[in-house]
Amino acid sequence: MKNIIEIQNLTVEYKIKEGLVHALTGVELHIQKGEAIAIVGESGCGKSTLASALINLVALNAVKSGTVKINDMEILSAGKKVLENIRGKEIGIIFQEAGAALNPVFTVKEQIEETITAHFGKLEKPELEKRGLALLEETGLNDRERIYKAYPHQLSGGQQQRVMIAIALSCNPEILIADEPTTALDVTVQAQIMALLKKLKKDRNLTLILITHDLHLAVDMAQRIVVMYAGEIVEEGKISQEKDAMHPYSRALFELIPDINAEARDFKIIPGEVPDMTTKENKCRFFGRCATAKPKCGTMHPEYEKVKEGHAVRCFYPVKD
Amino acid sequence: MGKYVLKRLLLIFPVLIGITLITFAIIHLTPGGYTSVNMQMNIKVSPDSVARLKTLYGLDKPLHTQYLDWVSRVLRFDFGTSFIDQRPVMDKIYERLPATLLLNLISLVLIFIVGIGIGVASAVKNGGTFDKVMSVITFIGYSLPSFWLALLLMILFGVVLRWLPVSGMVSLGFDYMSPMQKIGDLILHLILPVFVTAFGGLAYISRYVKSSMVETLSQYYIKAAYAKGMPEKTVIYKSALKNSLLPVITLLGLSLPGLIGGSFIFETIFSWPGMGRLAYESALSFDYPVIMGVATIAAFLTLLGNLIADIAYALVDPRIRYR
Amino acid sequence: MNKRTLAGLLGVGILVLAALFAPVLTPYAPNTQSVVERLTAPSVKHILGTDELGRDVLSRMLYGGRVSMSVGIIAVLIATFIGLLVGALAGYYGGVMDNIIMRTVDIILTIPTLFVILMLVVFLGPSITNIMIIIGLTSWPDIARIIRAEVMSIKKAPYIDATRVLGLPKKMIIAKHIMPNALGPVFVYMIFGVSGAILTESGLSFLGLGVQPPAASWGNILSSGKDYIETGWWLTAFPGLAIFLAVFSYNLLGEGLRDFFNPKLSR
Repeated sequence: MKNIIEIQNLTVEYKIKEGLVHALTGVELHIQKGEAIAIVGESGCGKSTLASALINLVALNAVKSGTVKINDMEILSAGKKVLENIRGKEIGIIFQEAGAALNPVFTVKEQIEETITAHFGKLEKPELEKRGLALLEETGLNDRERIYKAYPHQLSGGQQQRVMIAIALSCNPEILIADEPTTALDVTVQAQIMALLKKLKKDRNLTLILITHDLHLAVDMAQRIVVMYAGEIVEEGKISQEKDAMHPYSRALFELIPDINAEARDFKIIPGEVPDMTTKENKCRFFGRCATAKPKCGTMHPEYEKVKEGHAVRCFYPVKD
Repeated sequence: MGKYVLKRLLLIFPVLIGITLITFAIIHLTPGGYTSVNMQMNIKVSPDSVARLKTLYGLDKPLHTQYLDWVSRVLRFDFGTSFIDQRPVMDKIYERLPATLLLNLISLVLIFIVGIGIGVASAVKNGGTFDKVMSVITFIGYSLPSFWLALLLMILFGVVLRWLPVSGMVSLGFDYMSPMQKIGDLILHLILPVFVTAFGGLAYISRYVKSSMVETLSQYYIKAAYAKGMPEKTVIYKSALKNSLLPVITLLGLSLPGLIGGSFIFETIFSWPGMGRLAYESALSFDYPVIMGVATIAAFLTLLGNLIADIAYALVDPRIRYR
Repeated sequence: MNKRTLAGLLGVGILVLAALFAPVLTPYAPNTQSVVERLTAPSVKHILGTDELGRDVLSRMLYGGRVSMSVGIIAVLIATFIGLLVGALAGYYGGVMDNIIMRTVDIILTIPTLFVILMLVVFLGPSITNIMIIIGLTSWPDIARIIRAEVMSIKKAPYIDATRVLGLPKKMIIAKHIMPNALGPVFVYMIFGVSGAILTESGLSFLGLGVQPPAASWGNILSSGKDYIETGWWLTAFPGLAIFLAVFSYNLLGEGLRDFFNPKLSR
């Protein structure tokens, strides 16, 4: 199978007053066409930076190195024109809060149609409108005529997210990045949006990259899980249940999923906090929060190593049971 | 939308009452009021005029009756007659209104077009050379006394270079000119007053537009626009511009009091035959009815401008239009 | 403290000192006329020249600075006093009281201030004292707004609740706890207020509606200078420059202090 995305040794650092924030360090990731993968981690672990780096849309104060290839096209060093062509047309992206990602002073129609026009040139008005309405239908919206002419503030949160998905898909990208697509929504709407994403993935044979802090969602959607911690990938592989996970951090994330059967719904948290991202000490980044840490973890930084076919972990003592 | 406009229209009444109350209070409560020594000693004010003023304001009646009488007159634009030439105050204001409106409207248009241009250009290259130069110039513009600027420009263009007329609205032989010459003459007379009137406002608006634009460019939906592959020019001049210019419309209303208030300084310096100069002339000759009339009309104009700006804002901002 | 603040502080410091020590610094009495020395250009004897009555311009400007500084500062103190009172009442009590006060402030803000000043000057008569009072009376609404906003935000802070529990009377809570916190932004506004007041005063004096001759003010020197544009450029140049530099210094100081009190706003 051909790799549609190849990331090699990707490092992104933000310059701030206090020094350098190591947002991503040495990220290696290969994604095959048509695959559904999930990138999981707590907030601040670098997963959103990774999503932005995929379309080379990181902040101006960022220093990037390594390579990111989309369909063999290197994009970290690509010029403006190339990037404009890739964004939207090869990679569609859905953001966390559709309410904030939609421009408040333009109608849904204008926002969908400007995207199509940007990539396919000026089309006849009826043709544009036909495509727009078809996209709304595909994303499962009823009352399409009204929604098409509406402004974002006139829509519900779920409708806004569906419109966002319609915009992301408007130029038929092969890759869809969904960055915490349901975080801002309430539970029932969350389930509907996730079902929609599943359906779209199948119908359009999309390469889906789901970014989430919710391992439960990730396991449900993706064949392969990538776990990130403090700007590094700490584990990658086919994980569908707790015992598949080998990194103590991944295990800990599983513990966070509230057990529906449990009588008392106590939400556990991982003790401690994500380490200071401006320092790079010679030890495991998870040291200090890890329940099974040994002295070695505090003196050396573990390498990212393959433990079996299609499964790699960054840990001296991977959990096996 | 309808509800918003209605609410906004209803808000006029308390403001109107407020304006009349304040004006009324100034007339009646200041120690230098009509019956004071100050006034009787002023030879320009004949005892006859004082008597007429007393009747106009009904100074012998109880205070609330005086107020109501006065307001009902104001609503009919009856401010009495001038002490100086006995003509109705409103006639004198009508004569002067077009000149003031012309000067202020042209300045306002200029302020907004140029101010928005500077603000947007500074925001797009925030911290760049243009931005730095402009922030110094606008800061100086903030601090420069406009009447001094007016004097310096008059000296440079009127006295030294002799390029531009420095006073009045038209030249002496205006009546004998062809229509084209008339327009040219008027434009020449407008250049300096418009420039000076616009200068201070320009600094203010361009700063405001810049910060509004910088704020907009950091919004999530701008990142989203880039992410869907929109060209940079479209993102800045379409997606971001509309968002950052909306609040500027309300600023248009807010900048009116300063503009109209400032007109009495500029019109005096440039001998511009407008309302501001009328107020100044009346102030020097203690022509109370005219001063009160001009002040009230100026407040009305400001109120009207604010109202238009607010309604225009509601019309262009979809978040208010469709609520 | 950044360069701008220091430059502003330096400018304001020089102006205030020059105003305070005007009698010592001036080479001539400000009102001494000299028929033979009418309209003489700047020279060693008269560094900034003489005016149409042969008075030393430098001396008149130093005394004029006194007027501008004192009008600016006292007007702002008056405005601050009213603004503090009104804003604190509105912010602390909230509800109906707040509504009435703030709508009144809105109304006052729609009236062109300069016209109100013009009316008041005409009724009260132009004098230094009246100008101070009039500018003060017309420029408090902005301060009231700032104070109200500050008081409202501080009112919710936990330590204010703590003082309530202790049973302190309301007025004491306002005075002792809220005010010190609100003073930062108000101080910044006061600095800008001084520069605004200097501009208004010199504008009025320029039009002959402010400080009356023979008393000197930058505005009225400039005003007499405009009749001698061709023969006495120094009468236009120096007082205008003085007004500009004074306003500029206060604005620099104000901006610097604003960044200091609210680092979020600075770039």
